[in-house]
Amino acid sequence: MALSKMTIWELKQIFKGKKFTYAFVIQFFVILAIIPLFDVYSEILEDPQEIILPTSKDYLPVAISSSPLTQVIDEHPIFRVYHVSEEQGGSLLKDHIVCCFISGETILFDENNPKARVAEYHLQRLLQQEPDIEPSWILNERSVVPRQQLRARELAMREIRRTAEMMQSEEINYSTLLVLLLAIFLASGILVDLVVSEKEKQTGEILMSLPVQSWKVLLSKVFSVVIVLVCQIALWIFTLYFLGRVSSLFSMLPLFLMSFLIISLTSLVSVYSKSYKEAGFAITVSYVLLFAFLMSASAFYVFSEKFSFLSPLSLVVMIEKGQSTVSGIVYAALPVFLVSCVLIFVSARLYGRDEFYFGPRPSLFRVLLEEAVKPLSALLSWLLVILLLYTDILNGVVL
Amino acid sequence: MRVLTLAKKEFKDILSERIYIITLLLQVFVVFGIVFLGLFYAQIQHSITYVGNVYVESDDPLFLEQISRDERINLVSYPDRAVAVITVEDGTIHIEMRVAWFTRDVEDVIKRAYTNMRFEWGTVSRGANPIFIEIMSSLLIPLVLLLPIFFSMNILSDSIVKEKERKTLEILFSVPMRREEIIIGKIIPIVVLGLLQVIAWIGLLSQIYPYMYHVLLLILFLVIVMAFFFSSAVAFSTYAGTMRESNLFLILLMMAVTFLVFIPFPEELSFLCRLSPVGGIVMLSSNQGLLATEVIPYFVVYSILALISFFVASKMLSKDRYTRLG
Repeated sequence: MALSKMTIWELKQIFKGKKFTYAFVIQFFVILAIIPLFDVYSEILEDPQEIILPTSKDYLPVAISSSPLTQVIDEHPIFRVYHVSEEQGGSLLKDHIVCCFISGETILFDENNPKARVAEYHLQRLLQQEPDIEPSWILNERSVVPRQQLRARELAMREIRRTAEMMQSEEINYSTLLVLLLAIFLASGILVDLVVSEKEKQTGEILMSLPVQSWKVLLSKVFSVVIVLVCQIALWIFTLYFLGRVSSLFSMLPLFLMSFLIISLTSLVSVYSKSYKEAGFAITVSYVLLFAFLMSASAFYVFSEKFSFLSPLSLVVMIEKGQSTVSGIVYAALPVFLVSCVLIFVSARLYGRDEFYFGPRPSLFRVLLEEAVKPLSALLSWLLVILLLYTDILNGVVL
Repeated sequence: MRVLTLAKKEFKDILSERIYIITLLLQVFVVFGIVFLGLFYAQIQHSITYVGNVYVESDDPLFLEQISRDERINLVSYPDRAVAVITVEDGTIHIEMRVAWFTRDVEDVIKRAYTNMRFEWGTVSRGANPIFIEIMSSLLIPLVLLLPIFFSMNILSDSIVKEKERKTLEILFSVPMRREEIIIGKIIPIVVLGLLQVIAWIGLLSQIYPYMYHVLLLILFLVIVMAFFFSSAVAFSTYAGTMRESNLFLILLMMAVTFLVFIPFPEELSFLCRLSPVGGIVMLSSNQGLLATEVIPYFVVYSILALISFFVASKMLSKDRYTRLG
């Protein structure tokens, strides 16, 4: 009873703040702006041999005086073209203002300019014409390249193609997934606000003196944020669905899992930290670590399906490949879900300890020892058994 | 004089914060990480297109010259370990492929050599990988140089909002100093700190990556950019009620300005994306020679922006309804 009452109260607090409205509106515009941005990137990935970054636009200053290359260079975004006469071109080149001067069928470079190398690189790729003569091909297979090297290259190419496909795929648009992460960040920002502001304004002490268990206080904060988040994600997904950006609502399941993980991690960080500044710093670092882990775990999927259960992102791949069965999804989702539950549990425990309000705050190492190592060592033997069973079942499912 | 005293005090405050020092040190890793990222990116680009050893026998010196320019192959003098053996004789091409997988790539190499034979190519001195040069000077160096500015912006807004939250800003305002002086006193240490970092990163980068030009102009440009960002940070944090709010505003401003380059504007509006400071930094740092007509707009635009935001900031500070909490 107390829990639901407090959750409603926290929800009111969130919606009352101007901040939420602002952030919500801004988010909407950011989402609208980011979608075309990612479309550009997926176009770039389509042809991985020729990547022109948006920042490289007009990067290479080139002078041209009547050349068959004029049109094709004008159309290429990387060149900043100066249409000049023969003399002007020569002087521009001499003053190092352009890195290359194209006159008729002669291409002159500003020899020691590093950009001249870049210009040469791009100019060489500019035209692609068939040779005048028909070449004759003979295949004479010999082991001149070590097999491992070939295999590594094949893998790299496959990985690049896979990323490109994923970004363009109709069912699960990676870009929209990334866009939706914004909502998660906003929600975790609110959570930090709810927890840390009580410490900074010292209103948490009053909360602690209420006849309510402290874990209920924390959970009510987490629940209210989760409710806001779920509503928001659902809203964005439906918006995107109607815009035709998402065709399978089902593939958004991993997003909810991710958001649960991030929220639980945030709650732990904000329970531990003393001030906003500390929380902000800790959260940035932990998010970077978390994403590095999640991304690398989904990369495992390429090499071995066994490790893929480590990341909910691999679920996306699974669903996309059409390999999803209900039990398969449950097994892939379970580790993340369990970790999130553990994180919530630990943060609720820590929240109940007075040191985190009144100090002196125990060191990170001490907390780790008390909260993780001791119970973990007891659980370890159990976990090992479960893990063995788990991989077995997973194998069965995937195969 | 009083401004300097305040500046000194602020400087000490900043250096006594452990988190700022940690962030400062973290940036060193970011700088190295970014150079590594550039190298890595260039290496990946190279290795996904690299074919391997190719043996070429040609009676056409132009063809031989062009094919030796191609960075995707390595010309060898014995055919034993070659992936492909190309023979050009009396206008005919024979290709013997040893690894079928590379057939399309070798075809592409030959096509390119034939296409480029029609032009007369000047010489370019060999050096770093062109992809590395491109990504470093067009993306990574601007990011490294903007990083300390963004970081300092946060310190500045923290220090203002903190004073507001603790109600010490009102005490500070009751000191016989003009409000502009107080703000300048707060900005000076930040600018000094930001400038020191920028200079340090430029020094460090020029050790690893030797192709940076017009360093003094670049620093001047960054100072103007700093003036713009820091005055807007003052304006934002005077407006914001809490640290969280001001941080949110600042992050949005940073993203808007930095990622201006990434927004695919339609053709008529494409000049807008050049306005990002990234464009100015790229222009100044990567070109050996500069045209005044191309450089001056950046300085003018950012000077005007800096003046406007300074004006807005001082106007806001003079109104008590913004400087008081609630």
